Amino acid sequence: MFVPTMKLSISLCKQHLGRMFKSKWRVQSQRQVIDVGIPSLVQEQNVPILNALDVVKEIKSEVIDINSLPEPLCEPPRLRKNENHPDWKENCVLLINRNTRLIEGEKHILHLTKTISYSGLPLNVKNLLPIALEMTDNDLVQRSIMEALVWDATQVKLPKRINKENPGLDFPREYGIPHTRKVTHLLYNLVYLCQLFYAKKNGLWTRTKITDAFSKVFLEKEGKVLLFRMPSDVLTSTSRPLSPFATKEQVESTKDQAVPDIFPLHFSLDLQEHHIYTSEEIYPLAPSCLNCHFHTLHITHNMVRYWHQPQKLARAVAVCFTFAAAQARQKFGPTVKELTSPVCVQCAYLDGPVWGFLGYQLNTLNINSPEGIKNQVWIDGPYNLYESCDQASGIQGYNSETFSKFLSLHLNET
Amino acid sequence: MATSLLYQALRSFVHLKSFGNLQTIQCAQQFWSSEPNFLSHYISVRFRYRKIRGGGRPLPWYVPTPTPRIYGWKAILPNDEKYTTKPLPVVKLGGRVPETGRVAVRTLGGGHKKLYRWVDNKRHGPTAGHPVEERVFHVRYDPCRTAKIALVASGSKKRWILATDGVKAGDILRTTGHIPRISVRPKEGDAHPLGALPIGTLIHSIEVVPGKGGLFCRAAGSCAQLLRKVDKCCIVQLPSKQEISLPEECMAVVGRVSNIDHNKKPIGSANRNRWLGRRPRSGWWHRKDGYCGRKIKPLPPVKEFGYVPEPKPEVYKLTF
Repeated sequence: MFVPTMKLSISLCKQHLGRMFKSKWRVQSQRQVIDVGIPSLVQEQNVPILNALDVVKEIKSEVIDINSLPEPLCEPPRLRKNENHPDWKENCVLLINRNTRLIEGEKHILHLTKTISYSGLPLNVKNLLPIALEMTDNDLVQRSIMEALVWDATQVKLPKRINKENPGLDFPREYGIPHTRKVTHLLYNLVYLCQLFYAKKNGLWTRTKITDAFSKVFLEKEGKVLLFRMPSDVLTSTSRPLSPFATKEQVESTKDQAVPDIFPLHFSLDLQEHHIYTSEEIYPLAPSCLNCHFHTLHITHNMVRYWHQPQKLARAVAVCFTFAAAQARQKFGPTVKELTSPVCVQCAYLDGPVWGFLGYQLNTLNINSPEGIKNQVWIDGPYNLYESCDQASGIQGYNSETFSKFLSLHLNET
Repeated sequence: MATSLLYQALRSFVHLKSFGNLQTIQCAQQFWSSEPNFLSHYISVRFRYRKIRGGGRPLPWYVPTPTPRIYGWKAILPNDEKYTTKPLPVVKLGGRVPETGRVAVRTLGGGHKKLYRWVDNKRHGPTAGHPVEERVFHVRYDPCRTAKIALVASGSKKRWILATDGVKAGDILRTTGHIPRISVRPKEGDAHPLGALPIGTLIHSIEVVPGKGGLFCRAAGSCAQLLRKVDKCCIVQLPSKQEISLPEECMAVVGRVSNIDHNKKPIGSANRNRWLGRRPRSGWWHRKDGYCGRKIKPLPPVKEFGYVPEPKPEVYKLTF
């Protein structure tokens, strides 16, 4: 290094030799590697030759795998999402559950479940509409809506509102009733009203009402195992099965009709590949109980993420298919393909103001081949029950026919 | 006489400083030897190059030159590294180098929260037989880029791709790797190898190495033009007027990138710039550093891609 012999003055410091040295060292520090080979003298004496980097090893501190530790210290086995989970299976199944959003919508689920759709409700439900219209007490319905949406004292922080035109500006933070609570409350209220009207007509409410029931069915399609695991927010069941929506001739005629085509998509699009499952099937009702036949299923949408209307309808069809299939398996055994007598269920799906109604008839569980008889679904809706509802202006745009259609599902006798 | 002297001077400069590569020398040789067509080699427009926010100006040698697009934010990909269409969280870096955490660019930071959508730049199809068909489900705004993105699905897979201008929900996009003898009739949004396209086609999302995914022309409204084909090589003019030569197997998408009015929309206010994650610049006038003002430069020669470069000799880096 440069050793100053002079006094360290300003004039000496002007000549910054360190900077010059650095710029020289930048070039000179890089030396090209020249392969000179192993000297012949060493080669002759058979000296073992090692790579220098193999001899000089980095000392690494040992990392302990948490899962190798005993039970209280390691991650609980039930929480693991990998092979160490006790229910992990080698063969994956394609899972359809409440969160499965089929991007193609109803077409996809109709293709998947081998179902043919008709517009409007089935005939025997349609015939009940005039009676339902007569029985509907609109004041009572509107009071139920207000009770669920406005007269609830719950005050929690609601999600942030975003101004799409000007995303930088914030709205004041709002407190109120969360959407999930509103929708479930509205459903419970209106199902209760249906109970009242039904009891008024028949003298007694003889059905069972179950909340948060779910069914689980395994089916095979094109060499892949499908797992339907679907919930129903409110389920009503009866002692006798629903009478079929279509006659035997109509069911036979479905052999000539084709299910919707979804080219260029495959049915496994949007279905989750799932490894953690148990192999038993679930039917939510005990076979020995009095009301062991499904009557009407209800499913709500909680608006956490935006879903298009066909996607909500697709989920409702999947719910109907799952519950009907579970009932068919329970009734006719686990190996049944074509049902001797069809299984029928009704369904209402809602998203607060928007309601839709379905009637589903399961004719076959053989969804593997496109030939043969097909399942049938009658789709009605979506209809607005109301347009908006708040504290200041009350219910706006109330549609009385929507509730009557809902009631006519419940008035349908077995 | 003067030219040869200058050339010698340039060469000696290159030799001494040892910072130039072979290409600079070739470039200089071509420039000085072609005296008759002197004027035709000039670009009269202002020389445009990739501006990095906070970079671009001449820097001392000990300051590493900033690399584009790595100091703003970083997406957190899923643990299993499987492709998803779900919006992924983003870590904001605020102008810092991801590895060291040191500030590299001062004028980045803050901004509105955003989520990252994993855009797949690979448009590969079969070399023989029926093309891959994908249906567009919707075209939407993406906060992480200027162009719009499209959700497409085919078979049991769906993915985000860059949206071509004019593509809308319900359209079917075709992708093929087949190079026919007669060039195809291109349709907007379809992907073909460069060798299959007719001369003069506007293209975007152009591959440089076959199989690696689109690299050039991915910004809103940008497109390149296929100029000519020379023995299994296709020459393409980029939006910067630079001509590049690519292998004919490289894939490209026909048409312009969507959101073509992006450059005409004013930001509107200084504060909106902050919402976009840009901090104010210093405003200091750099006198005579060569960054500002008009530049006259010769047209660069055609840049060749698709060949394997010679491996560099191994070098020991000594520490003092």
